Amino acid sequence: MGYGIWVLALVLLEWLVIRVILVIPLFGIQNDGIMGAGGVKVKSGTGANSAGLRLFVFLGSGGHTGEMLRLLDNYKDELLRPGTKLIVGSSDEESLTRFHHSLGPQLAQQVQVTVCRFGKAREVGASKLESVRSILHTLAKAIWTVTWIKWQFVGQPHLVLLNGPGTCCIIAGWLKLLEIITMTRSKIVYVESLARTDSLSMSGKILYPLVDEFVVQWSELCEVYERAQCFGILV
Amino acid sequence: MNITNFEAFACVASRGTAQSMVRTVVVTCGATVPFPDLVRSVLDAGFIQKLELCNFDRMVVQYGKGFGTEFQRLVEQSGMLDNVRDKSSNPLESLGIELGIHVKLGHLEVCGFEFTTAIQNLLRTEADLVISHAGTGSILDALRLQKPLIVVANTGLMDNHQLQIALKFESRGHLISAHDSSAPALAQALERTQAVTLEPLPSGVNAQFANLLATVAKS
Repeated sequence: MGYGIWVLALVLLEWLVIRVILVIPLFGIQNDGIMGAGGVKVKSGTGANSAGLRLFVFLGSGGHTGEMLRLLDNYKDELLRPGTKLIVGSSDEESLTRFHHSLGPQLAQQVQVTVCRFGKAREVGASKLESVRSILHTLAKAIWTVTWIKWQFVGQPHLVLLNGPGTCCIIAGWLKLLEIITMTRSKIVYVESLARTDSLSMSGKILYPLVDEFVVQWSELCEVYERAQCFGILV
Repeated sequence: MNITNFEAFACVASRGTAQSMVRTVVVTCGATVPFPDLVRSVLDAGFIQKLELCNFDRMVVQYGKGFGTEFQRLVEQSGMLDNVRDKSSNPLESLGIELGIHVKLGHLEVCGFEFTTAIQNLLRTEADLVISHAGTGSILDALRLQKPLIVVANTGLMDNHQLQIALKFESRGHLISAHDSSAPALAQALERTQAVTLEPLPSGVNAQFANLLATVAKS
């Protein structure tokens, strides 16, 4: 009887370890298409054109929001085609105002926008204790929202675009955990802030091993961080 | 560098923007955080003379939220106050910008306001030169419109990398970075803008990154 539980626990643990190795890009397996080899995921490749893209972006306030809006504008052909379902996460009203202003009436017509509100993970310059407390609070609220977003994405062509700050770590972390547990993909692209010229931000350091594609905007950072890709300034 | 050195230097005269024959310098301190040192420096008598020498007719300053009274005080202190313009002659009216202050300092017309959401329109239509804090948003606003740009790093901010950003952009020849926020440093930066040709910033639209987005979405 006692053995049975331990065996079950061991099997579960083993499965978890295998899933973690398969999912976390740091281990370098995911990009080789092992998930597609099963014949289940390959199909969605053709679906991306017919079905609209489901896109989640997080507006991280201030400069983060500014850069994200510039990214959306520069890459609207890829990200905001007619029929796209766009979920916008934000923790401040000003970002949402700027978003609606920059989207413009034409894009607003062809893209279906849903807004999700998040709390702030860490105020710039907050003490460690304050940070821990606010992170926990934000975590609880964010987990529910991210789970809902994940639900929208299952089986659909989708993309998550993040560029900081701290709340992004919660979003990406939970999405990757759900990926491990539910055996479905969560495709995350992280673009490091233009303000980071010679070191990664805290969110960048945390998300570096986790996200599917890690993009920096200064070539000097590429030389230090192997996984990072650089295409010059994108904003 | 000190002010007296500048007297020997003559700015290259050139015409204003296509829309206007008035040569305008636009100064922006960032919308949310005031940058008193920068405001103080652009209102410095020596620097204003320098601008006049460079054939600038007008200076437009976005001084930031809650900084209006202090701006007014600095203008009165400058000792160059010529006459107070009446509000009916607002040159930025068509942009929907309401001025908090509109005066003449020596020969230079000075227009000040707290904050506008139309900063890009303002830069596009009016600016022949931009002087800005070294926030990425402000830098991009100016460089994307291909305006000559002087940045001054606001080093008093936490968790903010203005100095590194300024130096990185300067090392690639996209802008001039003032050594500090003092008036002589700013005047020296102004001098440098006349001597060099700035590199245009390459477009943010990159085919490889577009391809990466499409590939990941489809994978």
